[in-house]
Amino acid sequence: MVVVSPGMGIFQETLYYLIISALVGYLGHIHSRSYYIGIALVMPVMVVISILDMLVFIISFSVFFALLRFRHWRANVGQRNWELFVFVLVLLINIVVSSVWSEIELFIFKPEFNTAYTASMDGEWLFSLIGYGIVILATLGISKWLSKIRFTQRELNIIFPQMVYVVIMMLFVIEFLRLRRSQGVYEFLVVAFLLTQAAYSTTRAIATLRKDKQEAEITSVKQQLESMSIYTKQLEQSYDQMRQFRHDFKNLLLAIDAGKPEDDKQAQYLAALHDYSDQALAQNVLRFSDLTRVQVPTLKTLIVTKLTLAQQQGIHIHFECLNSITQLASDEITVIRIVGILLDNAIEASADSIHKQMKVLLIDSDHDQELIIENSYAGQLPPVAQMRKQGFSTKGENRGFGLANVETLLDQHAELALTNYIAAELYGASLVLTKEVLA
Amino acid sequence: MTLPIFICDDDERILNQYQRIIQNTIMINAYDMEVLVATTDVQDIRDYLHQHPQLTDALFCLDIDLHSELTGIDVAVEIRHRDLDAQIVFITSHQELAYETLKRRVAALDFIRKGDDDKAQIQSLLAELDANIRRDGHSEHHYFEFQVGSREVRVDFDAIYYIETAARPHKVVLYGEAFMYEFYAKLSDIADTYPDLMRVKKSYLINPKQILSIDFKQRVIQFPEELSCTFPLTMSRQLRQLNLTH
Repeated sequence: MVVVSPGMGIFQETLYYLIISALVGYLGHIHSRSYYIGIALVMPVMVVISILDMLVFIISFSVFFALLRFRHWRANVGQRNWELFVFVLVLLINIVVSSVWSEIELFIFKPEFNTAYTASMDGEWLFSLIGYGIVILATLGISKWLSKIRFTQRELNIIFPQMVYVVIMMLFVIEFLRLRRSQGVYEFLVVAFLLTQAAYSTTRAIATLRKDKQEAEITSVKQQLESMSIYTKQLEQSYDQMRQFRHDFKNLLLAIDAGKPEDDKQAQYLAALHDYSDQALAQNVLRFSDLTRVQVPTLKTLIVTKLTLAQQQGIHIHFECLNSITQLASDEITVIRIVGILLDNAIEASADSIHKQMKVLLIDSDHDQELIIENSYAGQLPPVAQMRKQGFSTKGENRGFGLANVETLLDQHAELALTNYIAAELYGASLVLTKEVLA
Repeated sequence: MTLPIFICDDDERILNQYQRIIQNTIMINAYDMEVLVATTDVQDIRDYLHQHPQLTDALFCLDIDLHSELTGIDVAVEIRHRDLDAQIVFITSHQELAYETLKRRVAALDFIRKGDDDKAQIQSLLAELDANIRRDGHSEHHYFEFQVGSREVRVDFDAIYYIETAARPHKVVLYGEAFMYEFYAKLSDIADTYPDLMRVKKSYLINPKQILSIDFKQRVIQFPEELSCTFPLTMSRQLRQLNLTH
């Protein structure tokens, strides 16, 4: 193949040059015409260089690529990073496939010494065409696979330098071996070694990074909930006191009623007192009275805290929990994190709306537990797909985890399912925890 | 068809009282209804339904006692799974009742509050049902049915704008008049079940009746509420024909 066989025909080198440029352009989302015109203009020069020396070709191609794109990169840093990433990825895959493929080529054709690269053998042409095909397919496949894994910026900061390092090392080692005229198996081994080593250290680093991050998040969630649980207990106590008060108060009123005041004025006052106490107490006491049925401390704390917060923002809350929930049918921390995000989003959206309504329902049944959060919203909602990516919030990253994080959490737990809907002018999220089916 | 009525309340006095009110109301107004089962034990209703699996479109008045085993709700869920057309009404004596939960869980039609002018409540309920029967009693109503979470949802078929594949795997999103639902389904299965929907591209099934306008230049179909979807060039001819018939 190309990297190892400088004697190939002009046509093959041209094709190779075009494939690399096209892959970088396509995967890098380069739409500007100047890139493709530039590529076409320097094509003769590049092809000649690549026939003469592969290393020089790659260096000059890199420099040329940077020159072509420099103006765009200054305007858009994100685009620059992405294009560089794609560029290095294409080079890396190309080198790896080339060296493996040429090994297979040598193995199959077993050329006589010194005639290996004369391109005169039957089938060699077809063979290198298949090689190009593999490069294209491998690049497209790997980049599709990479785009599925959501790498964070910090992870990319680990991956990218590793890729650059591997590419440079490979190029120099291969060049060195070529000068010593001892390619073949050695090259294959060097490529394999470098690749394994880089892959290993990168995955290790990323795994550690992810684990640390997750542990930090879990500890912070736990700490938050613990500090809030004291508050919840106090709140529950005051609810109990209120309930007791309401009970006594009603009884006292009834007792006065039984005494039947003769004065009309007095009777009116009494009726007004009845109405007032009914309203005031019903709203404050009964609103969250279902909370006593939520017997998972962390969940209870979370709901109390968030709903109190919502109430302070003037949101009308309707909370229901019909059956007692003593245990969650999924990992507690995961559920708490998801519910926290959903509640945050709902509070934020309904606070901005006209009716400021929120309904939170916890439903426990034989097969599953369902948590429903519904909220009023202002104006037209963004399309669902977009909401998934960025979350309801428009207030930047600092606000915590968006719906994208919920997605990641859902991916890890098959028993959790989240669906969204809009009905009766409320936006709803339903989180279902499927209970394990007992055999 | 006569509307069959089932009543269940564990308090025999209330049961008898309600049965009397219902039967009198039917008689006086000559409603096309009949009390089939009146019982203090829900198991009787279960047994009856088990013996008559073809029975649909019935009215169930079920007592729920939150302090016992919530039997009324369990039965209601069962009935709902068995028959989407069942009319379920809860008889309740509790102020703090979780109405929203029941509405969602079993799509309850109404609630009768015990001791709060029961007679008037029952009379207006039966009058409403009678009106419904008269209105669309025999014309087949076209519904679109699916499951969201653990509950069955049905929407008016004509209210649908379109269905698209969701970002989450194995899911679709349904858009319609002031509603949006995301649920687990395959677009191809839906296309098979509801041939009236039109597959304009791989990830979109649209309801042609709801199209507001079609821009053939930009290849965009416009729906109400600022919703739209694009279509490939190959669909143009088919869509043009559609537009003419409107």
